[in-house]
Amino acid sequence: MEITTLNEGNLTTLTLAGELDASSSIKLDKELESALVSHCSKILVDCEQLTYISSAGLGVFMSYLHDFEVKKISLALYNVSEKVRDVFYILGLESLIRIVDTREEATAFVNELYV
Amino acid sequence: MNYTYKISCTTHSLPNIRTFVGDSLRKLHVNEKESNMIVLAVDEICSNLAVHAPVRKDVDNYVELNIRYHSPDGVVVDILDNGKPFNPSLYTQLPLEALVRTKRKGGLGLALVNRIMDKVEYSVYQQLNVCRMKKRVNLQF
Repeated sequence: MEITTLNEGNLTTLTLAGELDASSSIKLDKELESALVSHCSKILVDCEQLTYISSAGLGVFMSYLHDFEVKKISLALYNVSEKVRDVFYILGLESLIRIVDTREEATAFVNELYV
Repeated sequence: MNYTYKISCTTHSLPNIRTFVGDSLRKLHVNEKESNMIVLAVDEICSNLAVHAPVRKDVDNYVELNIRYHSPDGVVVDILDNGKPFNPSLYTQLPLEALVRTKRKGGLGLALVNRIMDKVEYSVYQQLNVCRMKKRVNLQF
């Protein structure tokens, strides 16, 4: 799992590449923790190169939702493959975590959520 | 055909386990979408074993997989390990809202397994813990 972080003002973009499982999810945990304590208010996650996700990866995203809501940080995932999207859908997590097709849609969502 | 694989029970083994399961299901002609789901279910069980079960310091912890197709059950996966036994009666699935509120990172794995597989059974055989999972699938030739 490789994670690239790009900070642009109050917008942080995480680009995930590889497999997100019980072994590698700690990397995502660290990046989301960094975003939480920074001054960012919008997080986009580019999943185009994310080839696999297990519950460990889902759990990391889930564990930050409460803090993000308290701090009014908006989060959206985009470029998510059908294989990865299916894993979110099995448990109905798409009702808690915004998953959209394109970066444009993700940007529109995070710009509007806490306006 | 019966495919078996034995490997150390650590989280570093998970990529190899996923590759083995995916390759085995491809040889059994399981379609890709259902194969992806079964790979995930096996990964979840093995992740739990790697994270929670290896408390015995006196032995090398390992996990052994056995995959076959058996009509009418479909794909049958046996996962054997020599770690601490898992008691499914102690497991309770929290609602998603409770997981969010408590900021828990765990608690979704077995929920995924139970949604994906048709049947999941736990037993002990010759001092090994056995998790047997079954799923009816569409084969493609």
